[in-house]
Amino acid sequence: MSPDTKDWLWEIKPAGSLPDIKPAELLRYKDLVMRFVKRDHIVSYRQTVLGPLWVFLEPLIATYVYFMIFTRIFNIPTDNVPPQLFFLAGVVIWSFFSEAIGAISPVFHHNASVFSKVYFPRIIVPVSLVLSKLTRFGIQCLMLLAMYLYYVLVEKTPVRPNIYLLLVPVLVLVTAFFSLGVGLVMAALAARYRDVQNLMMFAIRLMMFATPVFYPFSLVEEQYRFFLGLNPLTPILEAFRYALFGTGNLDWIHLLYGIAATVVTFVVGLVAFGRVEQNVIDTV
Amino acid sequence: MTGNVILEVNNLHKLYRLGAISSGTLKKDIARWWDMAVLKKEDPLQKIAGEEWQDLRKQNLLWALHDVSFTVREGEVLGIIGKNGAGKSTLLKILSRVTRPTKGTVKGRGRVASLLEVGTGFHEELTGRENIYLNGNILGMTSKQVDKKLDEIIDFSGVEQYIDTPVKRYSSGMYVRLAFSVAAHLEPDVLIVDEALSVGDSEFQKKSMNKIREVSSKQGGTILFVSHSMHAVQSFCSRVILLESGRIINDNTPEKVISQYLHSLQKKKRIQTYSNPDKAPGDNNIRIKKVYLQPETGHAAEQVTVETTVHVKFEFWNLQPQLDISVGMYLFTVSGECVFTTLSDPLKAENGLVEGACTIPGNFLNNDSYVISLVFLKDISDDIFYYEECLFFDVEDVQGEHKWYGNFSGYVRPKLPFTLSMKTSNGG
Repeated sequence: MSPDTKDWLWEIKPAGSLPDIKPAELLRYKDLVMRFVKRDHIVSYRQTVLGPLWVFLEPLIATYVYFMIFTRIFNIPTDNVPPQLFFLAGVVIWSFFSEAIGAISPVFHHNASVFSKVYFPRIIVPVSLVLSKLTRFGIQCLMLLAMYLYYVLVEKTPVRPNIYLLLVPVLVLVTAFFSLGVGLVMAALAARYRDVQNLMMFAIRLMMFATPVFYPFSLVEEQYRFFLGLNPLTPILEAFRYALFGTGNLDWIHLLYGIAATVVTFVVGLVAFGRVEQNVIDTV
Repeated sequence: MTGNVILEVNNLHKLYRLGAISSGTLKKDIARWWDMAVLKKEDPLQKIAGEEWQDLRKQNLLWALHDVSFTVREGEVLGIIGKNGAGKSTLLKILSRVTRPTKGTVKGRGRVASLLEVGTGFHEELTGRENIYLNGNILGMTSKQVDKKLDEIIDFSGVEQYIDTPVKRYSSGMYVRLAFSVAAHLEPDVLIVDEALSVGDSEFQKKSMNKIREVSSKQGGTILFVSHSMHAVQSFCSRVILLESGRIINDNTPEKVISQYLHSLQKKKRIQTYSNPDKAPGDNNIRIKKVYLQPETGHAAEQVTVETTVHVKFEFWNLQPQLDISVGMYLFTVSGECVFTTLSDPLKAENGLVEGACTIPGNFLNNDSYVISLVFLKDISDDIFYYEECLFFDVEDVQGEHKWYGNFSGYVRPKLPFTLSMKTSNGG
């Protein structure tokens, strides 16, 4: 036997209780990540009449509907920010989160035929889904920026950009990791119990009411603040609007809580997904 | 020929739950978790690992693989054979890293790719070109590697004109060609070919065969080949593993392993009987009652030698009131070569039981393993039922007076009138 028989390149072991993540291997598959992101974009808009315009239309329609309902009908105040701008900021972050989760949670069922035939680190699929939603979010932010500049320069609305704009990339990153974390947990659960998928999508829809998407957090009654504040998206959205408009207030402790909750969610997600991934093909 | 060890399989086990697999209800899973985590009991699944197969069966558990160990060296073409359910597919799934073993490890070097991955991840909305990249990346190539191979892949596929058309507009033939072309240009270190999964697509089979030839002729091309065709296994493989109920029962040269495999099949295959016409093989015209082999020198279990005369006998029910029937018999070697075909005279059969026999004379067949298939014909030319591989048998050699030690070549070894005599003698 030659001397180099000891240096194996890879090893297949029984499923362990910890996720089996090899960073070097993930790096080798970076082209696949980008390919999946590209595929998502091409596939979503090929054979649609309006094509990529949908990226703009969806948040615009949502914003208009919120404006009609919450401003015109219920007259909910928006911290002296023009309501359209206020809603749009909430909508882009919220849809980034909810779309990422909606895409990630059925990952094992949607990819069963590929997963049962060929190996690649499974985490690549959820990661690429988040990246693809992130690109979408980035494009929507351009629209938000356009509307923002319009209000600042043309309408002379008293919204003041401030130094905390520098915080925005961090907030986006936190949102991305939080979405990925929740998505991974849901994917792991949905792999075993299909009804989790329906249940969770319903829960996500309800969660929107517990997130300051179409109302400012300042409007929340004192006694419910703690409860609603537990939602990690709440401080993220509040900070996002504070950085953009200079209204509301920036509660650092609350934001740190949001980041800590994100880290915990992400780690739990990695472990859950990593455990399920190893033998899921025998059950799906 | 044989280089370094490229794949090492150690004590591989895989346990499956039969039937309604672990899609186990939430309630059961929570109960198991409660027992383990809170009450600190043993994991019921862990405990099972040491028990016997029969006990497992009762619990709907099955060892798909049990203590499988072997190594593969660079350049080897290793055949894996066994009946359906012997564990071949499970082994391949573990080797291609799609699922994990329950116990044991596989260590390896180099990239493993399998032809059963053809077209994996193709998206029908994407164009041919986009799919080449997607498929290539999924199979583990970088985009740069695909760039380099792109022209070759498109060329080989023969779909250049449509390469920028979404593949949903492709014919199924074009689709397979493109998909295969990507897989064929992977250049893996270990190629896994599962022929059983590609049955039904003769074009694909031909292509994969050519690919195997190409890889195996290239220095260092290592192949794991799973097939039901003993002919293919015999002609490609340098070594063969026989699996039975998840265990390796033989690991040797193709000749030895294949003959053992066929031997194990043969035990059941010298006689086949059916008591119920509804469940017997056949069609709405005829149903098989019995086929069996009768060596002239004794009862059915007797050894057949090259000198033995063998009667192939069969009985079948004619379900039609009137049937103009004839029966054809094919004799194949186990490697799939047809030795001969012979046909009975037609019979105007009435409703009822029909019997027939065909005699293969002694001193005619070679020492080899043979397979018999029967074909039933209506009105002389319409084949109504093909009873494939209904009998297997071995023909043993006899040491005759001529001390010839090697095998006789040829499918048959007939004793023909052959004279040899002195014409004139110079001696005196």
